[in-house]
Amino acid sequence: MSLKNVIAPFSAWARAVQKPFTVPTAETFRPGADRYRGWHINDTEQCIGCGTCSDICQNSAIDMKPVDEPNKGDSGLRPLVDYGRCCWCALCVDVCPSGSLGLSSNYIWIDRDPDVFRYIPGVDRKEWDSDEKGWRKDDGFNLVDPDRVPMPMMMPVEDRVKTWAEVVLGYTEAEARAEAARCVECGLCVAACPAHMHIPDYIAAIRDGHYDVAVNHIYDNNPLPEMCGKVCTRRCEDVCSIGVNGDPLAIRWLKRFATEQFSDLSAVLSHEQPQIGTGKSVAVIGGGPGGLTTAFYLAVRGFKVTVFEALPQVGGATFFGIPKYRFPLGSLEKQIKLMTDWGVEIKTNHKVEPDEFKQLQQDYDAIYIGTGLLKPSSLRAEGEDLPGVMPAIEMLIDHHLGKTVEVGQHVVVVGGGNVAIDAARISRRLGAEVTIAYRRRLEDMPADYEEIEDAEAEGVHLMTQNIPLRVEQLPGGRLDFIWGPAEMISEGGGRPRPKLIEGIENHLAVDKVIVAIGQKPDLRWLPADVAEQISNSWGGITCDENGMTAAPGVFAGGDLVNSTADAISAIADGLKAVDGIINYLGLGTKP
Amino acid sequence: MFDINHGNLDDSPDVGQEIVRRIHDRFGDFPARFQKADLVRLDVPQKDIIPVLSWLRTETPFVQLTHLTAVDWLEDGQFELMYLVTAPDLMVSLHLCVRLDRAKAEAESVFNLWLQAETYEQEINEMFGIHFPGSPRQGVPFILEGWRDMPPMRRDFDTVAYCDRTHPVRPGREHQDSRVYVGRKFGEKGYLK
Repeated sequence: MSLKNVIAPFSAWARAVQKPFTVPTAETFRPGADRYRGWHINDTEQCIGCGTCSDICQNSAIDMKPVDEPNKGDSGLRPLVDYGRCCWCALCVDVCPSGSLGLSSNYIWIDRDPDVFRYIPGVDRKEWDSDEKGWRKDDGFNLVDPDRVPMPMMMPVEDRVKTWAEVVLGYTEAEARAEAARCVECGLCVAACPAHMHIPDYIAAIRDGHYDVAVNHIYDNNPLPEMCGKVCTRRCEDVCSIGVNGDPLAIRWLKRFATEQFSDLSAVLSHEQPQIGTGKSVAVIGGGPGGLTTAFYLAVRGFKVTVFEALPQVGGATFFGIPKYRFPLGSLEKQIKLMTDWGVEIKTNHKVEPDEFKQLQQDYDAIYIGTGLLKPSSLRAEGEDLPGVMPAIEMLIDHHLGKTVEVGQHVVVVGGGNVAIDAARISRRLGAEVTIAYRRRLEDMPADYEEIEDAEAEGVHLMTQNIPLRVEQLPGGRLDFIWGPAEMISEGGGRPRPKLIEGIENHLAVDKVIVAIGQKPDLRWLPADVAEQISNSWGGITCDENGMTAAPGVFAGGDLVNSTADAISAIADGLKAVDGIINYLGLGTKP
Repeated sequence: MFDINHGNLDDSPDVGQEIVRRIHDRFGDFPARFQKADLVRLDVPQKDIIPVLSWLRTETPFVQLTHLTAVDWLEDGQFELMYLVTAPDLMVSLHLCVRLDRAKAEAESVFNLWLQAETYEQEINEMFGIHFPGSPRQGVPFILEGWRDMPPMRRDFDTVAYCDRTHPVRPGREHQDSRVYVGRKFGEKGYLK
């Protein structure tokens, strides 16, 4: 045994007083690198709960959990990370459509209880929540394509105003499948859609090329999807998670693509609804989207349904309001044909009068009212009764019934909604110079942004913050449209409101003033006692949660009832009435 | 460094263009992509890669192996080895990419050209299961001690299944699919199906 071996155990004791070589990480914090991938952080205000982080996680380390205070328009879920499985690959951060998720540069967290290493970033507060450093998605880097496949247009813009042909060409198969492939299937769109259509399911079917499957998903709760595919107000696209940092999915165009693949819908659609309504009959007054929805889904259940429509064609505002270059008549007729093929009886040119309504109440087991808003709001300015000042709604109805509409050389359309845009673009096609006068700003316009763009492209001149003062007769039958400029005033929390700047009068010489500032209900066709019983303060109808009015067995929906006044909301009301009528007649499944 | 056929590479106004021209002259017309001013990608057939690398290492300023990694092209039935070779004095890099048969998963070692290739080849051997005959530490664990599964960077390795086997989900976890959750919350309903 050497001397060294004898001394060694004792010499080791000398180390006890030396400074250790190792770093006591628990006590001495060493910051991670700027792009270190440490514990998760999540900006819960930005997070929309789409669950894409959870879907992409290669280790199933992320669960989506309901949280107490979700933001409006999101799923109400937030990601929970289980660090028993996370490998810090940061794919969740790289894919995050809203860009809310990140990894902090903090990597030290010591605890004896393994179950604490599992938390909802941003909700369960952590000391590294405000860490500026760490891993974030690079600017411009996207695992999901942020750019929408552009929609081809039928013809150059200068030729469009010469024809009534449909403007939008529609996607090709390759374009539709490429667009559908951008969807992350989060389902936020389902929440935003008033009818809660099965949007991610039909988009996935389109992506996979199964268009028959897509159409079956689509028709499951919307009997007018080709209409919606062309002209829907598409609130689904407003909430699309891809839209947070890119173009939202073209949900409307994809629906259009799927429905246009089949000329004979009954060949691809199937249903196995039990015939619970046999022997029961329902009258639908007003053949708009809401009434047709109720009629269609009751008819497939064996009800005898009759639709009473005052005009020569059903479709409601989608027939008489929406121009044919957006929604051709053939497209509407194809959808109506399926309804009549599947048992809906339609009586057109049949306006229900008060006495007949009483009779319908005797003859039918339930009634659905969906007569919409047809009474135009007036201009509320001096000269509103002059010849040449006309309501847009009457102009649209006359035009679509084939009557000659004289618009002259120059028209001004007052309003900023889709009706105003439709009246303006139709006037362009009738050969007039068109100016739109709107009281608020461009960004406040309720009309669809693509409609506004198309109108401008077609040569419609937009004047915003423009308040009509009066209309005067000019020699030679023309009109002097006199308006004042407005400034926008912000009061409280609401959207800014226009306020007239006094003392300025501008003149615009026109042939026609088309008024498109909204419509009001008109229930004079109802018996006075019924109208009294079911109408509300603004002249519309109030329904309970089953879609039923204060009159038992009388249901209602559409623009008369809801505040959004669009086709898809009317369809949603129609669906509600389907359930309501089934339950009212005691035919629902017993709980 | 002087090349008897072409003159001095250092004097060339565009080193990337010039080295590609010389490789084309000497070895064949490999597809080249000029990715950046200082980075050229060349797709080299497997039979030519060792001659090209040897020539670069011994007769040009491209003397440094900066990186060696692999990509699994599962659908093509191929692996790709990517050699990043740099001329440190000129600050220009060549990205030499070689496709291998995935079923055979074997490539010649460049350990005799660059000693540090031993470590890269050990790592690729462990992560992708590509074998480099003659490389010193093949089959010796690099970071995966006691690994008995398929090499984990192969794309047919099922990460979630592996995770489920080795790190079982602890009790108390519950996931809500957002698509299903939203539908249920808002009363999504079908009327035909």
